[in-house]
Parts: sequence; structure tokens; C-alpha cells
Amino acid sequence: MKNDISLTKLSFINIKKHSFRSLGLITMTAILSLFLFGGSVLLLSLDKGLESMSTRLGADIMVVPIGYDKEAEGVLLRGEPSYFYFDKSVETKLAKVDGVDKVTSQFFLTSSNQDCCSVPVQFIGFDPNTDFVVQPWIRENYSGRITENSIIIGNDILYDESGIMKFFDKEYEVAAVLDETGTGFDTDVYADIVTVKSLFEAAKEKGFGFTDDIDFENSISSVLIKISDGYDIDTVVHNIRMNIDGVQIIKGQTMTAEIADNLNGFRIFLLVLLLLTGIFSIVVLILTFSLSVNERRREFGILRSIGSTRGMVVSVVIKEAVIIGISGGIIGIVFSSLILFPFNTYIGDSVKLPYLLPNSWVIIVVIILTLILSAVIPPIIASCFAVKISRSEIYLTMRDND
Amino acid sequence: MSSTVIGKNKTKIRKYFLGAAFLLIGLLIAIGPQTIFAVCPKDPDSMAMACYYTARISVGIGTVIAALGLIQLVIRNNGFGSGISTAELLLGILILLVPTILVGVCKGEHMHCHSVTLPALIILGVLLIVLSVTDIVIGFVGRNKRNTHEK
Repeated sequence: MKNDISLTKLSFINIKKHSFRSLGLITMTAILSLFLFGGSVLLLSLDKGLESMSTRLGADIMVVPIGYDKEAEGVLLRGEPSYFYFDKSVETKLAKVDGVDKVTSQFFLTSSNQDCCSVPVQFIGFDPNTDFVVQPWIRENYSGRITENSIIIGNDILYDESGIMKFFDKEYEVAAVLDETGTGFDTDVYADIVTVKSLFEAAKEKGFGFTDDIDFENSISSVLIKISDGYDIDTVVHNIRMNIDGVQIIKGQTMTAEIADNLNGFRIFLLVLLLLTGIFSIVVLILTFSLSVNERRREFGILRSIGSTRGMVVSVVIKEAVIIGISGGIIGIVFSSLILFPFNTYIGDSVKLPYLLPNSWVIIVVIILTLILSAVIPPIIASCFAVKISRSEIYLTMRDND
Repeated sequence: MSSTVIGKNKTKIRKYFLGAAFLLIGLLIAIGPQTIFAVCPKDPDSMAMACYYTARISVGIGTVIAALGLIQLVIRNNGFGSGISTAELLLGILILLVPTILVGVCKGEHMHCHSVTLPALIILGVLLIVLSVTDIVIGFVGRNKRNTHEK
């Protein structure tokens, strides 16, 4: 009967025989891979969120009523419904400021809770004649004309198959659903100013207090500004401050820069965590492999005495380390995925930063890279000790354990 | 040590490991939706939401899962093992169906029950199914091996 043992089979047998030690090594590699994969996906998601945020902002400057800058940022970044108004004449005044190329106004409105399980949504009404911000990215999903009583909804807004949504007891047709952005834009409902007026009037009829004392025709919530070529934002902001009082100016760059700053803080924290986990795991792997290889001197001596070459002995140890590395890598990725993907929404909500998972192929690349690293680190460590042992004389190797 | 003794030890370890795992998963399913991965709070003035009932049902299912785990831990007769695993498998399927099809959770993706309780219950359900199926398969293969040896 043929009963040959290949080097790979010998490595498997060794792992099975020393199950406790192998389990320890696999656990360390799994921890390393868990942090490596999890940290990378988390950072990539935050980067993608920031990128989508910058793309969607579209305007250089946003002007809101004084004291409402935080509310405006809440609407854009976190989808926190809010409403605030100032006089429509501000838009005309802003259009005359030196350095201003285009202006467009928006009207904010919030819904009540539609039913027991829903949350209030933010309506953003835009003027189709002057808008240069909303319509370009609506066109990515909807090429038709936005008619009266039709709405464009963010990716997180729920609607039923009929394509009709009811707000303040009035029905509106969902014309298109926008792509996911990982920002507050996902919970917004966009409509032209005529439709928003009908929403406003419906809310007024239902007796919603926020419509009191508001003259719809002469009120707006924000003015978005595109600056002229050859001007820098700070100069235009200075010009606005010199000409118009009672407004709060938010620079688009500042908003993304603030997010980028927060993101950098988070990135440093994650990198330090990853570095510490990496160092800890590698130190434990070094110690365990050093002890393991040393205590197996007799085994290696026997292998050498029955004709195995030095290379074969090293190869057995390296194969064991590769098996341990790949197993740990897979376990780490699986555990990390069990947290990252099912709890994706919760993570995004908790970090309070734009958060958007990378595309599947990016995730696949990260998985492959994590697996390669997990499969390479343990063999590199193990081979250092295995080569040292294999260089000793057979007799001495076998005696060392006596 | 003979191979029979090693085999018996392995079966014992498996039994205790599974018992402890079932007990832990059961407790998490029973208590989790009220505490660690809580469903949305119930407004006393309005109708209860779907997630509220999912949490209530989870208490019942989780308690049965934990009780079966406890039986697995304390009962000496190994013959109960595969029966308990079969029951846990069915309960695992049930706990998957409760928040997804049978009762559900709130529809809003950002509602706490949707973003936390739902994935947590699904993961626990899948874990329970994987553990029970693995135990049933190992038990089946072991019995087949023993039968072949006896023949």
C-alpha cells in the first residue's frame, strides 16, 4: 500500500497535532487581518464619502440667515431636517456683488413623521431657471423635465411600488431616485419651487406651526453662489460682507476642509490602532514561532536523519506558516465583514461624517491584499528561525532537546 | 491513550462547546433586542411598531435556544446531541424569518432597529444555523464511520 507523506501533508499533520499552538497563531493572524481589512475599508468608505460630498456641493459659497450655519451644515452633511428663512431680496443683492457669477436660491421645508416608522424628511425646493447645483446631478439619474407635483428623492427615502408619496395628505409622484452619497443628501427630497409651494400650502392647511408668519413668495432659505473666474472665494466673501448684513456665509471649501480635517484625525487614530495591533501581533508571532521551532529541534533532526534536505525542513515550517496565515487571514476578513457590511448604515450614522462603502471590486482588491499580507508575514517570521535550525548539525539538533 | 478514548473526549468537548455557544446565542437573542442592540423605543401614545413585536418574540425564541443549550451542557446522554442541534437549526431559521419576513422591523434604513437589531439578529441566526448544521454533519459522518468499522 502506498503511504507517502508529502511535505504539505506533513505540515497539515503538524498543525493538527499541535492544535493549541496553531489555534493561538491563527488567532493572532486573524486579529491582524481583522484590523487590516476593517481599517482599510473604513478609511476607503470615509474617503469616498468625502469625495461624493465635494462633488455634490456644487457651489463655492452658501449664504443662509445669520446664526443658521450649523443647521445648514446639518441638512447637507447629516440629513438633519431643518428650516430657516430670510428675505428673497438677499438673492438679488447677492447677484450684484462684485465677483459673483451665478446665484440661485433654495427653500427648505420639513415633513412631519409620515407614519409610526418613518422620520421627518427635508424638502429642498430649487428654482429650475437659475439652479446650477441640483439639476446637474439630478440629470445623472433623470433626463426628463421635473413637472409640477413630481419629486426627486434621495437614496435613503422609502417609497412604495406605486411611485406615489404622500406628504401633508397630498400626493406627489416620485420622478427619480438619486444615487447614494453617504451624506445628508440621501434623506432629502428635491422639487421645483412650484411643487414646494404646494407642499408649503398643504402644510399650512394642516396647521403646521412652522409655516406661520412666513410669506412663501418673499422667503428663501439659502442662496448658492458660483464665483466669477479670476476671483478667489475670500475676496468675494469680503465683498458680500461689505454689502449685505444679517447673513451667514459658508464657504464650500471650508465645509469640505472641515470634514477632511475630521477625517484626518480619524485616519491617524485608525492608523495608530492598526500599527499597534500590527506590532503586537508580529511580536507574538515572532515569540510563538521562535518557541515552536526551537522545541521541534528533535523533529527536524529526525527529518534530516531520514534523508530530508535543509530546504525540505525549512519548507515544512514555511508551509505550516502559510496555512496558518491564510486561515487566520480568512477568519479575520470574515469577522471584519460581519461587522462592516451588515452594520454599514449604523457605522455611517455613528461616525457623523460622509460615509460610503467602496465599490465591490475595490473591496475584492482589499481582501486579496489582506490575504496576501496574512499569508506572507507568518512565513517570513517562521523562515528566519527555520533556516537557523536547519543550519545546525543533525547530531547537535537532536541532542539540544535532551 | 486509545483512539476510542480520544474520540469520546472530542465528542465531550464538542458537546460542551456547542452547549455553551447555544446558551450564549440564545441569551443574546432574548436580551439583545431590549438592551445591547435595542429596537426603537415605544412611544406610549402611538401604535407599537413592528420592531417592538420582533423584540418580544425574540425573548421567547432566545429563551428556548438558551434552554436547549443548557440541556446540552447538563445532560449526560450524548444521544440528545443531534436532536438538540436539529431543534436549534429550526429555531435559527425562525429567528432569521422573524425580523425579515414574519414580523419585520421599521422600514427606515437609519432607524436603530433596522441598522442594528436586524443585522445582529441575522448574524446570530446564521451563526446558530452554521453551528447546528456542522454538528449534525459531524455526528452523521461519525456514525457512518462507526457503522463501517463495526461491519
